[in-house]
Amino acid sequence: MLWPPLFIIVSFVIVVTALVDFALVVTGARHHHYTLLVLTTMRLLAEVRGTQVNANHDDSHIRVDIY
Amino acid sequence: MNEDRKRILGMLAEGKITADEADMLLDALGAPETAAPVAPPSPSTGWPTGPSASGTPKFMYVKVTGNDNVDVKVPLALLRTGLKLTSLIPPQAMNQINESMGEAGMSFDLNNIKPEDIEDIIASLGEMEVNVQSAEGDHVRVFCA
Repeated sequence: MLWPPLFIIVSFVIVVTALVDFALVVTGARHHHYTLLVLTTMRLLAEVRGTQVNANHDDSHIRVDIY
Repeated sequence: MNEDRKRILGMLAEGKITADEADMLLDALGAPETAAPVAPPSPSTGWPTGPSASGTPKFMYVKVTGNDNVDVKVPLALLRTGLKLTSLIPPQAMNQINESMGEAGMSFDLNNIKPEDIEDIIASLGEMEVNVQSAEGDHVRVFCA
């Protein structure tokens, strides 16, 4: 149930950053890559997939798999 | 009734043990056996045991053996995307990051890492191997494959 609100929030953020980037381009600012920054950050989160952590101690076992 | 219960009750009838002792023995018979914690199957059984001899490495592995057993596998694509992300950070923020890293003793400029160098960096990691043997007997290995 996390996906619908997340989808709405991400869409909103992308629209806002796109508007900001457009305004920055119009004003002639050198850095106008905020939309790309947001998208790359999301890609970074997606790249975490495949991470595995396994820790065994005498009385505890921890296993984390990110799919 | 099983043989152990019969024997306990027989000993009680013969007066060899008291009623309290018989009760304790019967309780002990009925108690479930305490099983030792069983370690889940390790995900690292299929992992490579050393750096890849050829090709671009896909994952960074950290293996700790000894008193504690720890296995960590991190995709190198994370490094690739992370380095690309640094080129998109606004210059003011990047300067602050570099200053903070310099204060923490890591005085290198992330702006110097160009996107075209990323693949070379990752390919070079395939030859990297770190082996640490601690005084407590733990053995730490870091490699990419």
